Amino acid sequence: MRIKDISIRFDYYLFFAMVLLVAIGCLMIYSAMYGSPSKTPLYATQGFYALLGMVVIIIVIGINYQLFNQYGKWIYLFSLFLLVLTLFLGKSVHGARSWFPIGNLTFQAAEFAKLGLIIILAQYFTNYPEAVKRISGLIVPFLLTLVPVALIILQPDPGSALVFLAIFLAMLYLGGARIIYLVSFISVGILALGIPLLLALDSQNKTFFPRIFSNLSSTLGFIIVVIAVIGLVCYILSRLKFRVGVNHFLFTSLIVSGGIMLSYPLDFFLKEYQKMRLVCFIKPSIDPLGAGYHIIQSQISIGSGGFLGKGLLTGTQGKLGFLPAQHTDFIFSLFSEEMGFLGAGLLILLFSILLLRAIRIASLARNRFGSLLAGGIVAMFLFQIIVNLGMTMGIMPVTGLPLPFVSRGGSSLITSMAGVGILLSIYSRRLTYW
Amino acid sequence: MPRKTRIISSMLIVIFTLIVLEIRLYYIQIVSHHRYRKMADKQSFSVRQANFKRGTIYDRNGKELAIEFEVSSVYAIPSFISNPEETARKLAPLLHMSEKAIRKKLETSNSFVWLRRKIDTKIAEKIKGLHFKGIKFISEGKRFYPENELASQVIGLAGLDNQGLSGIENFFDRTLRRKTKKTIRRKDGFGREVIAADTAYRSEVSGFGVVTTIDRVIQYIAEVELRKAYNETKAKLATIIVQDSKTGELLALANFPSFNGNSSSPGKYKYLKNPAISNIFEPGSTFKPIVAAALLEENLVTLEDRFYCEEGVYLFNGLPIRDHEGEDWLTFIQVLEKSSNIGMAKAGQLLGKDKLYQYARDFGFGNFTGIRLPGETPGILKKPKDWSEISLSRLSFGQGIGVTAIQLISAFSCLANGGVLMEPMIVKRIVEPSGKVVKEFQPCPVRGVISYKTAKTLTNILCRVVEKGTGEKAKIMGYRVAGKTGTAQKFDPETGKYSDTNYIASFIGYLPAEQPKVTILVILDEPQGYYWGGSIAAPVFARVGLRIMHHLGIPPDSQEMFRNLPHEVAYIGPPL
Repeated sequence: MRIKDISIRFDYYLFFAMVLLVAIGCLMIYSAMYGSPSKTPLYATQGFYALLGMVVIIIVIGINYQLFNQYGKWIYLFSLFLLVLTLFLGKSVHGARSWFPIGNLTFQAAEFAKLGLIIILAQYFTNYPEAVKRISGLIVPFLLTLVPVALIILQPDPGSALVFLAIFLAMLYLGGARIIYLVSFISVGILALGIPLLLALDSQNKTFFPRIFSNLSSTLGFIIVVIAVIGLVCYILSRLKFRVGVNHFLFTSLIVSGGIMLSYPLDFFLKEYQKMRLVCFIKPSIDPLGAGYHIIQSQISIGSGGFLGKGLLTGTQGKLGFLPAQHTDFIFSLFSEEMGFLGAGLLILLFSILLLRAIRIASLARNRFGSLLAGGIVAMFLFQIIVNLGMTMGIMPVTGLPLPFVSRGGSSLITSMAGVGILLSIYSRRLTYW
Repeated sequence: MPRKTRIISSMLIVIFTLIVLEIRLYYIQIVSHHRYRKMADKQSFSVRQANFKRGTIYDRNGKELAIEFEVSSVYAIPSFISNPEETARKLAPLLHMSEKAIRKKLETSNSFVWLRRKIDTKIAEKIKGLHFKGIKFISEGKRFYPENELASQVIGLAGLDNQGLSGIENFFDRTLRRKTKKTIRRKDGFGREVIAADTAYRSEVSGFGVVTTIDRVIQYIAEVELRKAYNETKAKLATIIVQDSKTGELLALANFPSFNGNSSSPGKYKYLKNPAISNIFEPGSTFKPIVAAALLEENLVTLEDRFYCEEGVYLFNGLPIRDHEGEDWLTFIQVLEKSSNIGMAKAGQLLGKDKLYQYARDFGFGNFTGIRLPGETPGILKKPKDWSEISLSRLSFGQGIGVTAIQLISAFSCLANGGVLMEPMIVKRIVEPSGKVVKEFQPCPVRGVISYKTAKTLTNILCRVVEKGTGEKAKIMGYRVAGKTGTAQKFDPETGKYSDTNYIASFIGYLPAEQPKVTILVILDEPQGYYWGGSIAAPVFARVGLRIMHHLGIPPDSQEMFRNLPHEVAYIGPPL
């Protein structure tokens, strides 16, 4: 393929939306660190990563994405290898062993693994297009997802692990899986996450449910009771001439009991502060100076910005240190405070352009692999954007997920840019076999 | 290829979620903007009253009477204290508090508790050395009165929170404190103050200083003599006031008992009131010269006019007026010399109600003098229409009128000053800490009451009182003294009659008579034993007067006076 062809088949909207987002990111990191002395300014390192990301984009555009289909297995395995290595050699920051050191720099293997999972799932659903129709066909992709999820939960970094599950669900959806399977997965997830939350909300085990789930035997008893109830309902429904069979009964029971049982390891792996974050999302007043502090301060920053904002470098909440993690997770709050509704609204608009163009690429892709690949990348972006922006605006729990392209962090930025590179690669090859 | 519907639905999902986010953003930034703005301001601004260092109070010569220095106050943040028992045990001896009291404070649920305010800096350093977490210090100003009791009731007292409670501290509170400047400070997320350009620090700026008219030495003289007289006569209350006869400036204002502003005992709060301006009493004979001045000014009597003094008892409208020594005929001069009540009562009739009232008002009785001290009372002087049959006769010798010591001395200074009443001054000027004058108080003539000639005549009469009348013990070697004794029965509110046992003995006079420099008032309230003003108050006057003359370096005016000196007044100055 010639350079000329690439320039014709280049998605300018997508690319420039991304460039603007990255530029905003560098600017806000500059603002966040303004006035604090540091040897190498963080905005400069972020700029360096952005340039590195550009190089990655150019390389990835040059590579035919079909190659990922061929080597997907190895990319996936390599990413798992990095995750395992991180567990042993990783540097611990804020209680999570997520950073893999390369010389002076550190690298988050989890970010790379996201792409690895997207590639391997796209490959699987391409190679076995009929597998998604059956529930047994979902076992392999589920396990493929579960391995990195487990490795990341071990770090522990449950926030990132959620991204993998989101990618899995989105690709299942785009792969053509039946909606009922998606609902099942989500139900299991809600049960598994909901029970530890309930326990944390009522730590004295005063109300009914927490008391049941506080020990194993009563939980098992509860599961048996629930299965019996489901069986009874199924029986009554079948006698009422509804088409309800034994398989429905088994399926429902499996989901319920699986969800409840899964809550045990999750409860074990979730750290106290992470549970508190979830609890505080529901009731921020429970801990206004601890976990609720982030939620409240972030909203104060955003809200006090108003329509036009306080002006670049002149925000008070950020500059006076009320806003936590203002160059990483809460960079959007800082941006909203200083640039106001005008700027923040524009930022969300840029994200919409980026995502909608990416979905367009998914629909225009030449083949199923490209389409699924693009879909997975969209899911990765979308989930992180929703969770991060939702978190800063108090409609999502605090999970510590970075905002793609904007938040500080080389691994996240380069991974996101590589994702854009893949999208552009798919776009440019939508009409050719190359 | 995924089905088209799934692509379209995912687009819808993206659009939907981003619209939700935009709506939420709109809600937070536009709809709730003011609420969040307020919350942001609330947590990042703190309005702080920057207290200036309290200004210094000086005597007229620039000696400091009240100063402020930095001390430490200890407070605790109970939630930070892990081991209250141990902390209390270690702090108890340093803070001079009981272990139990400290523990009780440390175990409260408050987030802040004072342990002890205004402790010595050295002790604070020691406690800091122990490195207790949660025990903290605030630097505060503490008022210190270098002269202890000296002029305490004039200077007054400043409370623990830098507020003036009495005296000049109270009256000039806002001057001494200066306006408390409200500074708006920025706090950062850790509660630290962000230093802004307009931040004022207390150590840098001080309130204005107040220069009083008090002369530290004269005040000291007055207080020493006062204490001596108080102990000798066992009076309930004793007062000496020394006033500059010309300007009305108060050189000394002493009461006993008073308090020590540095004392930590709460007993001092009993004596915050300044009796010299807040207590009213009946002047008795010391009021006679006022009446005499009116009579002479109105040319109603001459000095040679004779009055029949009824041999000591005179029934006037059915009520007796008594003299302590019965006389028959006395000239007007002699009436004053011997302080005859009957003579004055008869002379007073010549003046009439309205004239007497008018002159009393003109001399400043029954009205505020305007002295710049808190708690002044106007005294009691009824209007003539409210007077009874006998009021005129009684008032002529100082009964039936309530005056304050400051009114009385101002009226006498008026006689000394050639008939011009001056406003009593206690503060000379307001100065900046650098010494630059902010405001100068000028001596303020209130009105001319009597003519210069009348004033001089009266001075001569008052000199006779001291030379050969009731005030002989007020003689001062080398100086001509004009003065008048006073022995007033106290009105007993319980019986509704004048008491036979409770008196107010007083002496008021000025010297040197030719060119009066100072007016001195001595009051002994309810002395035990001798109660005659001439025998107990006059000697105090003489001692104080002599020492003031020496202090002020005023040359003696007459060698004749050396003869026939009362032996109490021994010359103790340099050889003449």
